Formats: sequence, C-alpha cells, structure tokens
Amino acid sequence: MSKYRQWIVLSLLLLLLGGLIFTYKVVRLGFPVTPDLTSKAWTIQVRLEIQPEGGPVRAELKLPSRSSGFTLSRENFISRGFGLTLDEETFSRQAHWAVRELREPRTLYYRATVIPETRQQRFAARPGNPQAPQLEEPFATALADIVAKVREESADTESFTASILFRLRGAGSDENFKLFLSEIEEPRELVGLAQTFLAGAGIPSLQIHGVMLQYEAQRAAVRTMLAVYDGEDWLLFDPETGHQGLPEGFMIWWRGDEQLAVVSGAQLQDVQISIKQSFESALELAFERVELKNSRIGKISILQLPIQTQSVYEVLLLVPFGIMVIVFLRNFIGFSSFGTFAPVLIALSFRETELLKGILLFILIVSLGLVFRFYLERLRLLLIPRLAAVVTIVVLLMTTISIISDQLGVETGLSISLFPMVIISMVIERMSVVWEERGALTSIREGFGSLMMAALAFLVMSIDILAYWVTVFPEVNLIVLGIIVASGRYTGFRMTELVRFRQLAGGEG
Amino acid sequence: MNVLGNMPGLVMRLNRSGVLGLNRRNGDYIMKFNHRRYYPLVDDKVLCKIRLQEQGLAVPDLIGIVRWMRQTAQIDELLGGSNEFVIKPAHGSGGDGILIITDRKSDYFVDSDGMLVQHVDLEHHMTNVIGGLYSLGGQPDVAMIESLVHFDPAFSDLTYHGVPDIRVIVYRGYPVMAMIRLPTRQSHGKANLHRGAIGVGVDLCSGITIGGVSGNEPVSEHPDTGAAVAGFAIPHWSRIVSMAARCYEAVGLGYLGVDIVLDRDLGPLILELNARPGLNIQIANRQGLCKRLDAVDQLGTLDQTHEKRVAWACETFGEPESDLLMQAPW
Repeated sequence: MSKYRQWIVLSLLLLLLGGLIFTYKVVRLGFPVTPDLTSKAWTIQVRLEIQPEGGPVRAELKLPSRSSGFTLSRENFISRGFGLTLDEETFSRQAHWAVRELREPRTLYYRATVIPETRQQRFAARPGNPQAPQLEEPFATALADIVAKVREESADTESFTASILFRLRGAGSDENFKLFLSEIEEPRELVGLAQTFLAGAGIPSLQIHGVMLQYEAQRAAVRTMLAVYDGEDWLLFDPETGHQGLPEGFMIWWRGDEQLAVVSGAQLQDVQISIKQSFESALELAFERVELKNSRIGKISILQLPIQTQSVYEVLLLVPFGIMVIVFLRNFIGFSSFGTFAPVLIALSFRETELLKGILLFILIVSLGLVFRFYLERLRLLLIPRLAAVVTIVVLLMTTISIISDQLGVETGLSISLFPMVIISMVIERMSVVWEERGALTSIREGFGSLMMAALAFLVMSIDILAYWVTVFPEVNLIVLGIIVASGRYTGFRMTELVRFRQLAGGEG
Repeated sequence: MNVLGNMPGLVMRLNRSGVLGLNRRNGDYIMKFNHRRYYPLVDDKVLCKIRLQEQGLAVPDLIGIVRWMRQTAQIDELLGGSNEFVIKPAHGSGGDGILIITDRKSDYFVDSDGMLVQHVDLEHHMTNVIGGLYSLGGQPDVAMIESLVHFDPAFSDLTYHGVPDIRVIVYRGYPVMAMIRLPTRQSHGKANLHRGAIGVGVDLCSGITIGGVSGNEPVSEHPDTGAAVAGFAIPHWSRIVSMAARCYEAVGLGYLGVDIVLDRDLGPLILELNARPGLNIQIANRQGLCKRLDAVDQLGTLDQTHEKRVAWACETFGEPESDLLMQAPW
C-alpha cells in the first residue's frame, strides 16, 4: 500500500475507533448524549416484621435478580443482631438471616435502587419438560378433556396458553373448568391451576413475581405473571388480563412457586414493599452501570480525575476543535495569521472574557503594545531584551486595565489576566515588523485576520455540547484527529485562490 | 464578483487551465521532490552562495558575514572600501530585512530610496537580523553583506530605482516557467510582487516578455516609466535559463525557484534560490503550471545534462518568436 493511501486508511480507522467507543458508551452503558439529562430511578424497600416465639429464627427473603430492563445498585440490608448470608445464582438470589435467640419483635429491611437498563436479557434458564400432573378422578379425566379441547382450538403454545387463561377468567362455561375452579379459594391460585393445565399438555411454565415500578407506593402489591416456554423462548402472560408480554414498568423479582419471605422459628407479622421514584442524573446512573459491569471502556472519561485536573483537561480537550477550525480556515479558505496556532490560544482567553469584550481588550492591548514597541525601536534595544520589554509592558498594561476597570466597577477587565501575554507580545512584534516592511495596512489586515480566526475558533470551542462531550467522551478527539488527518491531503484550491487566479480560468464550456 | 456562487464551476475551470494551488504545490510537489535535508542549502543564503560558487555558477560577491553583535561595531573593517552593498538576513524570506546601500558619505550612508542612514541605524539593523527578527521561525541568524548589483542599462526603461529580478521555476532540472519582476516606485525599488513590483511573464525559449500584472491586475506599461512591458527581449537569456537548470544539480531540490539578476558588468548572477517559490508566476504568464509540470513527469527518463533539458524546455514551452514580437498588449 502506498503511503499516499495510508492517510485515508488511518483517518478512517480513527473515525471508526472514536465512533465505536462513543456508540458503545451511549448505547450499551447509557451515557447521555446531552448534559443535564435525568433518568428515572426507583428506591425499593422490603420491610419484614418478625414476632419472636423464642429460640432460633431463620428468615429467608427473595431478592430481585436479573431482570429485563432494570439493574440494581446500592443494595443494603438493615438487620441488627442477625447474621446475613447471600445466596446468589444467575436467576435467583436470596438473603438468609439467622439469629440464635430472638426475644423482642424485630424489623428487617432490605433496600436497593433500581435503575433502568438498556439491554434486554433472558430472564430464566431453558427448562426441562414438566412432569404430567398426577391427579385423582374426576380431575384426571377433566384435565385430559380440557387439554384435548383447548389444543384442538389452538395453533401453538402461545394461543394454547391464551386460550387457557381466557377460560380460567370465567369467560368459558365449560363443566370441566367449573370443576377445577370450585377448588380454588384465592384468585392467585389461578396461576397454579393454569400451570397444571399446561403441564398436562407438556408445556413448561414458570411463575414470575414482581412489582410495578410506580411513582410512589407504600404497600406495593406483588403481581404474578405466567411464563411459558415455547421451545425457543419464554413468553410472558398476565393471567389477570390475558395480555402477552411484560407490562411497562414491571420489574421481575423472583421466579417459582415460593413466597417472597419465609420465616422459621418466629411469626412473620407483616411483609411490606414500598417503592419511591426519584430522578437522578443520567450521567451518574451511567457511571453506576460502569461500576456494576466493571467496564474499562466506560472508565475512559476525565470525570474520573480529581476535580481541579478535570477543568484543565476540559479546556485542553477543546483545543483540537479550535485547531481543526484553524486548519479549515488556512487550508480550505486561505486565511493567514501571525503564528500558526496563536489564534487558538487567543481564543482560549476569550473563554474568560466573552467574545466581544475579549476582542476589544485584545485590540486595546495590542495597539497600546504597538505604540510602546515603536518607541522601543527608537531606543535601539537588541531583539531579546526588546521582546522581554514588550512582554513586561503587556503584563503592566493588563494589570493597569484590570485596576482601572475594577475601580470603574467593570468586572470583565479582571478576566484579562488570562490573556496569553507571551503570544500577544509575539503578535505585537510580528505586527511591527510587517508594519515597517510591508506597510501599516497589511499589518493591520493580518492582525485582524488573526483576530477573526481567534473569534471563529472561539465560537466553535464555546459550543456547550462540545465541552460536555470532551469531558464524558474524550474519544471524540479521535474523530477530530481523523478529520484533521483526512484534510491533511487536501490538495485542491483554497477559496482565496479562486479569487486570486480567477483570470486564469478558461471560458465556460 | 460572485465567487461563492460560481465556486464549483470556477474550480473546474481553474483545474482545466492547469492552475496550481498552494495546497497542491505543497502536497504534490514540494513534499515529494524537495527533500528536507537539502533545505538548509537554499534557506541559508550563505551556504547557498558557497555551494553555487563551487559549482561554477555566478553570484554577487560576498563582502562579509556579521555573526556576532560585537562585530556590528567593526563594520567599517568588514566593508573595506565598499560604498555600495546590500545587507541581508541569511535566513530571510520574502525580501524582509534587506537593506540596500547605494552610496556612502563621510559619516552616513544612502539607501536605495535616497534616504540617509546613520551608522547606528546600520548597526541596529544588523543586530535585528542577528537576533532573528526576519528569520523563519525567529531563530538567531547572521547578517550577510554582499556587493550591490548594478542593473543592466537595457532595463533602464523598465525599472524604477532597483534591479529587475528574473524568476525561473525549475522542476526536476527542467526550466518550466519564467517571469521578470520589475521594481516600481510603490515597491521602493524592491523586486517583490507583494510590495507592488510588476510581474511580467517571459517566454522560456526566447526570453521575450509577454505582458505583466500588478497584484492580480493586468498591466501593459510600467507605471513609473511608461514603457511597454511586453515584447522586450531579455539579454543573455540562454545563459540565464541554463544557469537556472544547473541549480538542480547544485542543490538537489526538485521544485525550485531560481532568482537571477543581470549585472551591468558581470552579466547574469544568481541572487538566491527558493524551495517554496510562489504561485504568482502563473498570473504573470497567464498560464497554469500543472500542464508543464505534467509534461516533465511524462518524460520517461530525465536528461542528465542541463543543455538537453534546456533544449527540451525551449522546444516544448517556447512560442514562435514572430508571435511574441507581434503580440498585442493585453
């Protein structure tokens, strides 16, 4: 590959790499693309009230585990006097509390923050085939009838389940169903019944328990959903409505037939789930996700640095954007300036003074500096001492302007201290040379050219979103580098050359 | 002048005319054919002068070099009896920092504008040069003093208080385009186009001028003398072109601007070489450079001798002489 092709490959690689990291952070880690974005988060709390009966007590609480669309963070357990062990598997998590002897009523707490997750996940393992239920007559025959009938009226697992749930809600007046329904005391046992029918048809099923995440609930109800396995994937059904799919805001808590909390050796007086919604900075949540996933790419951000270093880097990381503007203005438009990148440094100082006031201060200092420079020229000082004198004069001018403007109550005069005095001194020196050699007009024109480039670089660097991006997504500078490399082999005309050479252009045609 | 609106069309037409832009000059010619290690040979005018003399090429005599600040006080010793001389920064560019002294009275000098220059002014100018005020990048420099060139009287109608300067672009050893820069009152006798000198295209074969530009505007007469700028045959032309072609061997740069002046007594002298020659020569010649550069590139093998290269260039780029002498002013 010739080295004249390499630049385009390099530039594409840089663009791709920057783009990929950026996309990964936005899509997978949920970094917000714009600042000040908030996302919803919920605090969930489980409160177990235990009434002792004397003797050892064991309490078992199902903990939320892997779920579709949500992740947990900041989990804590408050359980004075109890020993706590956690039992974690992929699809089930439990907390075990135990105490040798409990004399007084005790309340155990579990608290966690639920944050929205960007990725959809499987919520249960692939099941084995269920055992056919062993029932007594007349139930066995009734089951066989129901399965045969419903199977005949359905096409697949999905429609079979929907049909069963539809009949269970009492919509069907089948005698066989009435037989089973008469055995049921509580509505929540309906799910178990549906499972019996599904097992009769050889369809694996699972109870899914969870809560609806809502604005605020003191005593949130546990809802049970029915999951059936169609051979490839789990399908979720809401047994109360028959709707398929996970309802919006439903957080899966635990799976299976067991209860949320089981206590042995004492009485479980009350189980209370409370939910409260809060708004948290999307950025903070993204960083929590990064911690949970231990993602290295997610940690590429200057927000990990100490605060005082951060603000320095925010400015530094903006410089490439200013430089990109200069590249564009010089090689595509055809501007010329004093010093290749001096306008960027001047532009950085405008960040403190605001544009218009910055330009006025710059013109003020440069013109005053030029006056002194011409005077120094008459003293015939040697070059380096003269330059040093100009720098010192610039510093004194800056101080004077600050003091005067402070006494006049003009605050912007103070921010002048951030002007790059050495750069300004060089601009003064160059301007005076050009002034003498090529005339005042050329000198002033080039001076204004530099100032205009600085202003344009400033305007680009002051785009708010860029400051946010470079702090959170420093990889955007890879994209900037890619663009700069790509423009490095632009050998076409500069816009000013079109004017300059226009008489050489042949006729139309 | 609706440049923005016609941009795509204008770009296309300029490309068709073979106009070379700065970006392309830098990227496709200078970076490709001017090796970095040869730059010092042209950027340092002292080194360049020595190298050209070694190669037997005529240059204005070097009177002396002022390297240290304290030497500026001893300038009289260095000058010997010279009353006419030029002080130049060895690393200067664009004609900045050149002081031309045309006469000397008891305790002051006279510059090319006829202004009086005190001895201290001269010393101060040299300290500025040595300090690096005019050098590329501002690094410390040396001041070179060379003898003044007296322009050939043939040019007396075509110049104002200065020496016309012939620029030849030499590409890979072949002269490809030439112009002559005529000083004007506006340029203070200096032959720099951006100071107001007139650029006049020159036929590469015959050395006959073909019409000029001031800035980007066409001119047919010298503004100060009123003489027609076109149709003038430059003396010693074939020597000028072959000297330019020989510079390729002398410094090894593939894209080179050679500046030559004609001295009344000494004939053509090479004033300086330029590794980044400007593009105004295209306007002066009313022709783009690209087609001529392409013609050189299309030669399979490059000729080894400068005679053959000059002959080829004359044949390829020259116009019939009769056309040139009959040309209407444009």
